[in-house]
Amino acid sequence: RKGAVEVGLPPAWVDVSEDVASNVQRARSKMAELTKAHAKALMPSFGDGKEDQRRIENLTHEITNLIRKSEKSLHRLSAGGPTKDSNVRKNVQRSFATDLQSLSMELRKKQSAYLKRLQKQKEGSDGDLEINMNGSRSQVEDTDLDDQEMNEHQLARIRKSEAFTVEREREIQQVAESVNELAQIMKDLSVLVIDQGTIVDRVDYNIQNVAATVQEGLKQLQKVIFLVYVI
Amino acid sequence: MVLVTAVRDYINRMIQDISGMKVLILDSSTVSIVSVVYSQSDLLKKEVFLVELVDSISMSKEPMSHLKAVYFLRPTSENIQHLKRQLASPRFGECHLFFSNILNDTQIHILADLDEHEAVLQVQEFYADFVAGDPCHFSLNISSNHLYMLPVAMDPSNLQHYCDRIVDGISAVFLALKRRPIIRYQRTSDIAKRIAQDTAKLMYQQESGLFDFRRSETLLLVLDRREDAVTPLLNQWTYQAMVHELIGIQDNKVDLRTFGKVPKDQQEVVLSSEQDSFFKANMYENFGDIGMNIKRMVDEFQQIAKSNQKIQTIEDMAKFVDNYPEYRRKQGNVSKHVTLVTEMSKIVEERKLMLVSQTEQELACNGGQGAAFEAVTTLLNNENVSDIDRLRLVMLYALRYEKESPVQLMQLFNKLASKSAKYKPGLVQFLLKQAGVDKRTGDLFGNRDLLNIARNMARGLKGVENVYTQHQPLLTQTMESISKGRLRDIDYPYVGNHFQPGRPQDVVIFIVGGTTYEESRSVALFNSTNSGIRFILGGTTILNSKRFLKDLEDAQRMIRSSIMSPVVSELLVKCVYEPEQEPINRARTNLLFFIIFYWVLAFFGELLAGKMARMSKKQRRRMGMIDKLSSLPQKILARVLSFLPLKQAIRTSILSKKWKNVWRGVMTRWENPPPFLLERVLHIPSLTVKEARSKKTEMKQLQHFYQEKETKQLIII
Repeated sequence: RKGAVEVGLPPAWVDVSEDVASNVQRARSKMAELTKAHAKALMPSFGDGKEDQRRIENLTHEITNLIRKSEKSLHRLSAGGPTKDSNVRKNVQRSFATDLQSLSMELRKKQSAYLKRLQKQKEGSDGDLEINMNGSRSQVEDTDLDDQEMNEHQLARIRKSEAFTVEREREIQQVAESVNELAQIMKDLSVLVIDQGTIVDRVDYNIQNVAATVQEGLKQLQKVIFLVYVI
Repeated sequence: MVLVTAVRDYINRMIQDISGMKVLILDSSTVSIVSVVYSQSDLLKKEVFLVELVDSISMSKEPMSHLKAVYFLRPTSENIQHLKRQLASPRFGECHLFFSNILNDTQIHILADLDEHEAVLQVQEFYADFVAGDPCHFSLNISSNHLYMLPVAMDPSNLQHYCDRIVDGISAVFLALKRRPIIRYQRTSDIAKRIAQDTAKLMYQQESGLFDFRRSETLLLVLDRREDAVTPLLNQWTYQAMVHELIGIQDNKVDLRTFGKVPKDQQEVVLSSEQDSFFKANMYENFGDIGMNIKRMVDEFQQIAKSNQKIQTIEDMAKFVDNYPEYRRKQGNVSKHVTLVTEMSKIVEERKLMLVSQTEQELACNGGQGAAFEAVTTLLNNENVSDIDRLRLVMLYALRYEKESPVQLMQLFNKLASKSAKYKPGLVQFLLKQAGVDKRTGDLFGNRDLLNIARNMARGLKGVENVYTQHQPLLTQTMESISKGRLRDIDYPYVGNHFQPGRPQDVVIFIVGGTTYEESRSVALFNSTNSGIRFILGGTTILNSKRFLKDLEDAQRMIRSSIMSPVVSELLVKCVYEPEQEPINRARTNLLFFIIFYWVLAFFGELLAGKMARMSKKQRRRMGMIDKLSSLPQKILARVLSFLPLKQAIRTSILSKKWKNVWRGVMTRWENPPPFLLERVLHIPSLTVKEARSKKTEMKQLQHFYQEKETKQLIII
């Protein structure tokens, strides 16, 4: 039963925090989907796997976007100067920052795991190619003109290896981009995330700072009032 | 893990089942209780987004009805008052009240009446009423800890509060462990006996239903700190104990802000065995070994840092980003331990602690009064040794060789007083009165019991691994006796008609007056030997030498200031306002004389020994440091003195200028002048040379006054 306390509307920032919470939730469910997509792409298939690739790309982008959006909203939570409930807001921020950071880490881990396994697979097929051909890929291109000695089978394989190379480069670029993005996000988040095991993670330290923050706020207010009178 | 787990469980139960955003409201005691076992990030995970103190003035009046309030408080009357005020105009949507100990009926009734707005959804008792800093070590963080050293009659109500807090804390431990123990206490300690009996009354009579757990072999042993005053005075060389001794640990936090060049993010650090695996592995290790282990940790970290700088490929960068949080955490940890060890090394160097500590350990562990005296004297003469270290050395010497050579002991007291400007006179003697050989039963130095002597000799022959850590606290012996089922009934009687045949399985040892980290280390090491018994140690506070000395000083001051006033005023009233009475009998005479003499002398002693001597009389008067007895008019003082035998009245003439001629105003009949006794004025350490010289001329005058003969008959005390 609800108490007979005057039930006012919660402040506006609570809506922002609820947005962030729902974004985090969506990101989590997409992460689960991504895991499935990774697994599917690694399985041998009849198609050229482009659809799977696109799906993985999309999911990765979506998750990164959700994380980035949430992170920006988080910073909005502390905007507007110190108020009476700034400590609650600060703590909400920190809680979400920790969640986002762990999401980013999870994403990174999944990506790198997927890439490793992908590389292993490709190395397998590259290895075959290497054994059959003498020399490097440039030689492949040179001897491409000299197709009298090539048979259909080998040509197909060469084309496939080229496609793989292009694809691999694209993937590497993607990874680089996402790593960049995530590094940026991590940097921004690390300001907010509590370092566990340090003094900042102590309840008694934070209680002291409650008093301090409110005092600070009052001091700032006093300064402003003083300036207003003087000027 | 036991105590820590228990408290964590309680806190979990408080906040788990309440959904939505919460605010946790604590009082000044429960803040410590929560902070050592639950971190801010743990709270955030459970959606507790604000923590406040119940008595905080900065609590704004702004209602936050979207937050649910979880109160966790000690059941004291102040807290009930706070609750009263807050529930009258509630700020939060819901209120859930949790108390750390048993509520009494009155309190429950008050709470029931308070809740007009029906905001309170539950009231429960969760028995987390102690600070569980380490798995098997707890403290009650009691502030005026010195009360246990005072006689009962001095401040009965505060002493009652003190004992109540202890009983509450101990019973909470047993409720958390779900055990009801057999209780034994140290026979020689009244306060231990009182606490043991009060605890037994609570567990077996008043709340016997609550404590009705299945029979299990548990023992509660209540001890007194004064049985072993050596351990808190010793300097420490194992990591946790050393940090507390040289810097100070409070609720597992170390405050380095007063130390000069500490990096900003290391000014306050946390030393928790639960959260810091390096600390857990090294907290009981020697200083030398710690140094090596830290160096290894630093080297490892530098390897990682170097490889982090060589980011050449995308893979490298990816790996860096992945491992960044872990890297950051490691960096902070390395920095913390390096800072601590650096600061401690500085202190060791400044205070020449290696030299001092060697003598301390000799005093505590080995024999040889003569050698000990030489060693202590040498160190007292050493200019580099600090005052507190000098004091500790003399105290350790006094505790051991109290009876063996009083003359040499006196010499040490004098030397100490002359070398240390801030030394409170009589502190060592006060310590001996509290914890001297007559007050102890146990074999503190291993030199009473035949078995212990043999053991010490064997150890001496074997050679000691590390001369700085040879001391074993008395507690180790006690634990061994318990584990062998040989704790003597005569020394540690049972409360009531309980009896425990054989060995207990769980033992809680509570030391009234405080524990030390050296003792908690012994407990942890004993527990790790898998002897089949689990020991838990607890105390009113966690001592280091500074805190123990402060308790002694506080107790001494209280005893001194309270002895004088009522007795003197009573006697003065009797003497001055009832002139018709019979001549006072001998005992009262002596008492009166002693009091006047001692009081004025003590006053002058402090005056001369301290800065007050340099203050003018006006300043002293302003500060209220007036010797009220001496400022009475001469006629009244003469009247007072007239009740004393003449020779004693004459003695007062050396006290000060004012007293010089008071005795002459006394009308007496003088029979045959007996050889009278004079104070050996020159040997009162607190008088300066100038005063002493003028006393000498005084004496000469007196000699002339009485006769021209008999000077050889001066018997000097």
